[in-house]
Amino acid sequence: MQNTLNILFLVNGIILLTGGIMIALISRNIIKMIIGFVIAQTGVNILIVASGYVIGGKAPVLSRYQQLAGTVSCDPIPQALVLTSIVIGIATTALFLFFALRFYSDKGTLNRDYTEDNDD
Amino acid sequence: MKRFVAVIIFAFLSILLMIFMFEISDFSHLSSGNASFVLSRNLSDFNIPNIVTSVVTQYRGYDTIGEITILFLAVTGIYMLISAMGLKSTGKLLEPAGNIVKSASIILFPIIMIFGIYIIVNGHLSPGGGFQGGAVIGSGMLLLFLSDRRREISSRASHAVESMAVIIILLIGLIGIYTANIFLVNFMGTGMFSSIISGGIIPIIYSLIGIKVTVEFFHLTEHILRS
Repeated sequence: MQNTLNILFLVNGIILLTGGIMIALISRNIIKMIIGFVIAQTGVNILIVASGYVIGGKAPVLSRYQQLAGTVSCDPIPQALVLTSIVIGIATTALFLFFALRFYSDKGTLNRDYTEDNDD
Repeated sequence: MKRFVAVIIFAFLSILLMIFMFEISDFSHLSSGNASFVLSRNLSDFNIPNIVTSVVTQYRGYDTIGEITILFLAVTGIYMLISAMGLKSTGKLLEPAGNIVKSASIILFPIIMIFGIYIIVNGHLSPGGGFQGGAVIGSGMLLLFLSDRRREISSRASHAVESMAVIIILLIGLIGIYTANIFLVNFMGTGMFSSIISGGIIPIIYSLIGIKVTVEFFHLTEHILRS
């Protein structure tokens, strides 16, 4: 049962990852590209946390008794990685949005295929 | 047609990724040696319950310092973009807030602050820590700005606090080089298990990271709302 749930998380993460990258690649609107990257980022986070799962494992916040008794625990390293990656993700998404704002104020459009015909 | 091909390609890629994922692990035991090392050494090294915290601040301390640098760079990039665009404050953004937001922020902001500080200080005992608590206090700051958009908070003071937090983290790391030739080594006693003052330098470093993240989020919201 626990393994089924974890497989669900893995499949979910992979679909979000590839789907997000696909959205980012095929859409022409920059805002939609950013949304795609954010979805892909969420997928990666889910994927990393789910890959550190151990069947029957507890969260890696253990009491002394549990640590000495050698209770099975999930892999703490992916969780530590995702912990920082979420905060970094917010800051980089804000930077992304400001690049989009800059693009809009320069070109007057959010279409990434836009070129200025008069200047070429 | 183009979209159809793209969907086919990405469906194929995700199926490949799934097959690969299930080939490498069956989740019946810890697959990486690093995890076993951390889990077995945590109690004797740092004597704290939260193993994720000891990974973030000690076993992967370099990584964390790099990540707060990325946070700083992202906020600096936003600031540079704003000044390059020459955005001036527009009347639309400075619309006064409604009564509900104003009254709610007076009650909610101190509670959010206390909750954030609680999360930061208990980072080595329970799930939580500098990054999460910093994000909580940062969103409290956003509420403060939304309730009164003309509020002035000294940006010189916030920059000073931010720089001091990073400088103290680096100095603690350098003390480690002086005492044991290892950067960021835990040179203090680990104390009593599961008490607030335990784990040596871990709570100090995590609190400083919390201050740093708080100030970065504050700058982020400030830059966005001021532009």
